[in-house]
Amino acid sequence: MTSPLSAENISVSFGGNHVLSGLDLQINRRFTGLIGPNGAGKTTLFNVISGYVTPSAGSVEILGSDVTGLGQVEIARLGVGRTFQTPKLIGDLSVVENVMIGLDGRTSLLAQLSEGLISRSSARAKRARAIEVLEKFALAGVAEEEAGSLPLGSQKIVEVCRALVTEPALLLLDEPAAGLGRDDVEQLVEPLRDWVAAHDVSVVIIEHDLELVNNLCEDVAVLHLGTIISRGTPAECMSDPQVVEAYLGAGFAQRS
Amino acid sequence: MARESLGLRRTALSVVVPVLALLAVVLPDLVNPYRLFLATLIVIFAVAGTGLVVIMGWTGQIALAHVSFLGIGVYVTNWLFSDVGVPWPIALVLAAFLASFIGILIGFPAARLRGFYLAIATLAFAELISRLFVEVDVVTGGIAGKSIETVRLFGMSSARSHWYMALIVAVLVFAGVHRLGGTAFGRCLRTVRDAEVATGSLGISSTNYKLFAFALSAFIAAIAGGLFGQLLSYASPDNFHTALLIQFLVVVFVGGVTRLSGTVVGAIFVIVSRELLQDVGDWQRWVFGISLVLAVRFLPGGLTSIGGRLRSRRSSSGEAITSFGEGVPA
Amino acid sequence: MLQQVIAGLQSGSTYAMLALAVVLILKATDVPNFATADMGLFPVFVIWQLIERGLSYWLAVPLGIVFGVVLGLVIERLVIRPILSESHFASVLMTIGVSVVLGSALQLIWGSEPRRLDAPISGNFKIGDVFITYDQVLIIGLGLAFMFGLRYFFTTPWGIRMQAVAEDRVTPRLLGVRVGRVFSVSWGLAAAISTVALLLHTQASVLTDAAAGPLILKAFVAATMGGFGSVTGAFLGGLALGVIENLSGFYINTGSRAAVAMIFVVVILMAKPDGLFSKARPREV
Repeated sequence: MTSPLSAENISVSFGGNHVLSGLDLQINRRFTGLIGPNGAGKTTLFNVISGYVTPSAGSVEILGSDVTGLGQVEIARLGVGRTFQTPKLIGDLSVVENVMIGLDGRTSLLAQLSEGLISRSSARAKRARAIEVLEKFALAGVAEEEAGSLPLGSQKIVEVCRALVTEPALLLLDEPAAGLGRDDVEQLVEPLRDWVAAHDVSVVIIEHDLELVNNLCEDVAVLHLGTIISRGTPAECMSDPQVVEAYLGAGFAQRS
Repeated sequence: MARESLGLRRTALSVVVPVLALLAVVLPDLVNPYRLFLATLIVIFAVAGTGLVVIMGWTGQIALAHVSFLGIGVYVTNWLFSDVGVPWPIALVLAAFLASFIGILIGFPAARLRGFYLAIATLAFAELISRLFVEVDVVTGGIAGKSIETVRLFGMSSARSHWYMALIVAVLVFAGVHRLGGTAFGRCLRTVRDAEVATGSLGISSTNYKLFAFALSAFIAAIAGGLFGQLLSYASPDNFHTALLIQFLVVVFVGGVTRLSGTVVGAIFVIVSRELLQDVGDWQRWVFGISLVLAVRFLPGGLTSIGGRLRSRRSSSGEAITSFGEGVPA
Repeated sequence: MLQQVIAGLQSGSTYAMLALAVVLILKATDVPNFATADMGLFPVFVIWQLIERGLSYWLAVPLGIVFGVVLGLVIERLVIRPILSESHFASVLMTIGVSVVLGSALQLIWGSEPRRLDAPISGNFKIGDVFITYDQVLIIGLGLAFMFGLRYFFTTPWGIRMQAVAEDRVTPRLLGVRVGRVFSVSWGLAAAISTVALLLHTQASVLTDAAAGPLILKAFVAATMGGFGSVTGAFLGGLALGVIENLSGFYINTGSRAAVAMIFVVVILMAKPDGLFSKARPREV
């Protein structure tokens, strides 16, 4: 099976700041966690994978194709979806319309214009598809509400729905549980697990919520100061002295 | 929106709309030609306003060359009709296509840049176009200007013709733009406005949408220009200065820049103000300046969504923005 | 040709100083202030009025600058601060509105006739073939002084606070920075710089209510060339713009001045979208 994501020797610097140095990462599980202290470069790695940042060195392969240097739109069209640390939704559109935007991106501008002015049937199909996804995450009830009126937790889940509606093969979730209460996390995790079981998709999750990572991810990579310092099951990584040191400082390493 | 209020809205509309339509058709018989002229001006300003709603309200781009495109509509429509002999409706559409083509040309370098770069670029462009209006005197009559040949419908008086022409154009423009706004195209524009960072990951090319919205707004401005020229009857470069831009900005902002229907309210406000302040001419500018300041200051929710800060009432407040370099802890 | 360059440096210094004011407000409050030039022009009218009433130039100017600073503070507090949580879109439209209010107020109060504001020092001297007026020396010199002053300022505690606040309004507040104070100081300072710029500019030409209009666009163009984050860049951009304008006016024709300058800017922006001197820093994710 081709690895859905393979990053080799990635280096990224901003000014004098070396954010990523010679990073290697291969994904071959359904749920991979990407953890590490703040400032480690996790979001930057996502930015490289999704085409927001071009690495100064290294290459990225997604689903077997070399995507190094490709633009965001091209990479998205390959079947990559992502969410952001703060949800990027359109406040004055309804929840279902926000999810439909995921599908809108797959239609060309010209097709959209004719859809707008001539036929309505494709719009109906899109809407049905969006509702289906929302139902899986128990959000169908608020489908017609203005997205801006929802609490943060629900907004983040809507953003996940938007990313999933196109059935991507690779899903990048950037701190999906940040700011969410226990209930919201459940509302996110269980449907996500079901989805992944039913579709051919690999999920990479940046998270600080280690319980969530423990719960969901079979495979974890620990990022610190621009490189992967540990790789393995959650248990393996979290007992790795290097990891403990990275998170808590040198004095704590001895105690674990 | 709750189901009940939607039903109420529908009933209200089904009564109000036919009444307004009837009123519109018989208006020339109800008011004197000058009042009809003012009403036509209101319609034209509202049409011009829709162009700004598309580029500013829906796409969130600060495009300030609107008056230039209006001017292109005035001059080119007239030149094609009067000097070249093209039938007026075709001349209007051709002028509009020229305007949108030029819109894409200036939009191109600016689309890749940050928000207010476009504001500067379009202001600079407006300056250049003003100069161009003076230079290309074949079309524009140079500094002295040019008279606009009047178009009449079925031998009606010019005031009546202009009213009906404006009405027909307005209905087409409003209907078309409204339709577009409620579909994928409209959603993508709003995504460019509120979540530009996310557009790439969704497969949406924000540059393409910005350019198209810009071209569309230029097109609409030129269409309004063709009609405007008919009302002016004589056009000179003086007509197309920043004072007019301010008036258009007031038209859209007083109405809530994201709403199409707001342009009608805004247009009424501007034209009525112009009339009332005619004798104290210098005060006009000041009033419009204050109106713009107040409208931007107190706009109910309209501007908050433009620029991507999602208003989440129950979220944790004050989330710091994380830069790409992750140098700042989130 | 050198004569033209000097003249270009003179007009360019006005653009450059205004560009400094633009960049200052942008760096400190993240607002692209389209009313910068008008905010500087209003106090100059006040100065003129004071001189007409019999006050000495050397008394009127400081008073005028104080007026300018107060005006800047009032504008910031009254109309800018409430919309600071919104985007550039709101600030641009708001400052455009403010510039219209100020410009039309000038016209209402003082009318449109051009007036003379005389510099206290006149005369010139010669270096080689070139005549240089004291005016020119003053404006170019002051401009440079402001530029170096601002550069230094941004390395001081106040300056650092300002930049921190512009990036992120929450964290500095948590660290005890009085964000409101920072905003006020930056607007007041920018207003003072604009006032001086407009004073020197109108002394060299004429004082009319329409003087601000053409200047603000050039100030922004200059700031754009410098990448908006760079004080030096904005300054040099302004000087360059002035020189190019003058040279094209001299060698081609006066009508070409605006066109050449604009084309120059578009070319630069297409080549380096972040300006000539910026440190590339992508913003939000």
